[in-house]
Amino acid sequence: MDMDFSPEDLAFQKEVRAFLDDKLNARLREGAANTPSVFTEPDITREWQAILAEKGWLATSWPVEDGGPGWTPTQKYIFEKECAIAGAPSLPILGLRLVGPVICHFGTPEQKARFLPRIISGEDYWCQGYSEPGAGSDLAAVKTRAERVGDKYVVNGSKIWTTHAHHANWIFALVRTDPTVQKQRGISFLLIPMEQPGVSVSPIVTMANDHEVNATFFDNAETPADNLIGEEGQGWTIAKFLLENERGGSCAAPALLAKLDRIERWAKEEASGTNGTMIHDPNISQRLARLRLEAQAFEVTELRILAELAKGRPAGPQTSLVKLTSSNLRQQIDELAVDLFGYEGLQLPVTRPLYGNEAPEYVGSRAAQLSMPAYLNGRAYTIFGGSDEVQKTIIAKQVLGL
Amino acid sequence: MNFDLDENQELFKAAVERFCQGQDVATRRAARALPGGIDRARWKELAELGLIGLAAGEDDGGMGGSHGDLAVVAQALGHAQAVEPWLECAFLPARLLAGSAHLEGVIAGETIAAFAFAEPGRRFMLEAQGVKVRGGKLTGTKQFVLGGGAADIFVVTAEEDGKTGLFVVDAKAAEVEVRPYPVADGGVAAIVTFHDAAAEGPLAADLAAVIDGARLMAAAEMVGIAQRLFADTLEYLKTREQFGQPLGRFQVLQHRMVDAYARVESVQSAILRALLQPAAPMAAIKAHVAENAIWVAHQAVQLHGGMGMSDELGIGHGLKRIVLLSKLFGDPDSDILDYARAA
Repeated sequence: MDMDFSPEDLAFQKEVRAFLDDKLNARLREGAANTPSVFTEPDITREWQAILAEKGWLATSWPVEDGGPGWTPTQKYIFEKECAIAGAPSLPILGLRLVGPVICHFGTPEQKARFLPRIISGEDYWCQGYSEPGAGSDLAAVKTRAERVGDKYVVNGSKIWTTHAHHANWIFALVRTDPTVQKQRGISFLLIPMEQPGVSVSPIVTMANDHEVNATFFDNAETPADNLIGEEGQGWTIAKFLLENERGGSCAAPALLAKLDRIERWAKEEASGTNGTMIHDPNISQRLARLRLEAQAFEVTELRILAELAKGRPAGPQTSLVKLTSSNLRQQIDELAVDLFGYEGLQLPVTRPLYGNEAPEYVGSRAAQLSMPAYLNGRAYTIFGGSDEVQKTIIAKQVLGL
Repeated sequence: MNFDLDENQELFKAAVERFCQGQDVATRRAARALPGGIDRARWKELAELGLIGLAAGEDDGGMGGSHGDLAVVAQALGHAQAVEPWLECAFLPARLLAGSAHLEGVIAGETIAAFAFAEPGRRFMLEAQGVKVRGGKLTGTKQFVLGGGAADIFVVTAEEDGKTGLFVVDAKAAEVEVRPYPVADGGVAAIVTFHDAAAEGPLAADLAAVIDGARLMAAAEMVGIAQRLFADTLEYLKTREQFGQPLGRFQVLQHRMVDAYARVESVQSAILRALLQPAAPMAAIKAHVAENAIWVAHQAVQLHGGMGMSDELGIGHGLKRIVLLSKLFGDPDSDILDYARAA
């Protein structure tokens, strides 16, 4: 038993590090570090995406024939870990990680040829139309209606929490094509262009003052029938594939550990008010220690999953814990950061971005200014993508057999 | 033994409820967006209802309200999610300015006073260090001056002769530089730099006693907000349907709400204890209230789902105000540690 990477993997790690050293410029690092929302804005991600696309390291979860780099699960893990440690920006995952793999798996050759290259080039920016006002945790209750009229679908209804819909030119949506059958069976997976009169987007600002999500309305919006993925009624199966694809190996712990390292550095600089620094504060230092122990254990959980995948075996049931563990850890880490900064952690900037020349002035430090909006936005980690409560119910049933 | 509000307290509570009637997310946002973050017409109204004067002594032209009376007001303002910084710009100045001629304008709602107590690099320390008074002139920088963007006068903690005293400085003086910045609850705080500004004082108020009173008011306001968030979440769980039934039918959510209910009752009891027990440890009680109120607010966001995250509902506003109050004059971690060490 060991936790070591093979010599080949270590060589790959070295290659990734050299690449990141070379290509991850100061603007990208600043943009990534100073983004308090869940997703990084396109002004940063597009540049990073282009750099990775040029290297062929962008669509890491796609098959080689569709443009993936052909990495092993271990290489994929190493790449993500090094990116997290280096502070690379996140990527527009809605195209690259969500709809991309769906098109790779379920798409026709024509659909692949049409959509996949434009995801890689960044020409298309995707958003996801899943939740609706009446269908949150109960996703199968979606009502947005798509009716086949000749060679197109006419779409009516609304979607909510559509991340970056205001940047997107395409949306992949779960729509109801057959209201007469059992609810899961009447759902289809449809690609709809955003730039048309029948689609409108209205912003929903978070309590942290960030505009990431929207409500998206369809009023006789149209899309060619060719943009149906799979068959009518297959939408629920595809939605489940998409979720399972997300769970095919993860690399969340390194980013959490990196954040804890940053908090430790800040604590060494943050004045305690009594001629010392906060690193010696008994509460802050113990919370830091506890969170680090938990994140380190979680890192090994992820490596145990990786080891299974690397051997070509199916991932173990621990995968079900990844989202639950990482989102709760992350919230506690974000709380610690706010608490570290005392009164300075209570500033909450109204304008964005918090990087570059337009960033508003901070009180104390940029890290202090970022702590409150990051904490507030982070409350969503236990809500989106299957809330904690939904996750636990699934784990209780499917893993524990309760 | 009797825990009922008295007749006057019922009247104060009703006055707050009347004052807050019709206030919603939109009106609150509009008030916050004004320069300085305070709607002066509303502030005057608050004064006319006697809710500022209640905090001032009778000798100063106030109504001499007890901590019990004032906690009722703070809790009711919290429950109504009022945006007016009553604790910051009414309670604190009314107490700090005891015996000062400035109090008349404060009680009338014409003068907005902000308390400048926090210094960069000094965390929650109340002893002034970087801000000094020498020969009647005040110098140095304060931050986290709540209401500082709207203030006409500042009440400032400053070091003179090795002691921390309270001084009044005209906010509009040329020697005073005010840089407003937004804070978590949607309000406006300021960094205030004094360059040899003329200072009146020291004032006679007992700073430690005023701060303890403010801790009690912060706790009472948090209790009010927590009760409101709890009630709103309970209502939501009874009406929001998913999987063909109200969310409140799910046992996991039922148990969560029972836990929240227990915490809401605990914090209500805690402030009653703070009011009724002689020499109650205010900072520690505030810490207990804060930790439980934050837990309740986190659950309110979680159980409202995406809606809880949006700025369109009062849920997030409640969380943010609780978080701010939880750190006012010390955060729960530091206050509980102090309490443990004192025991």
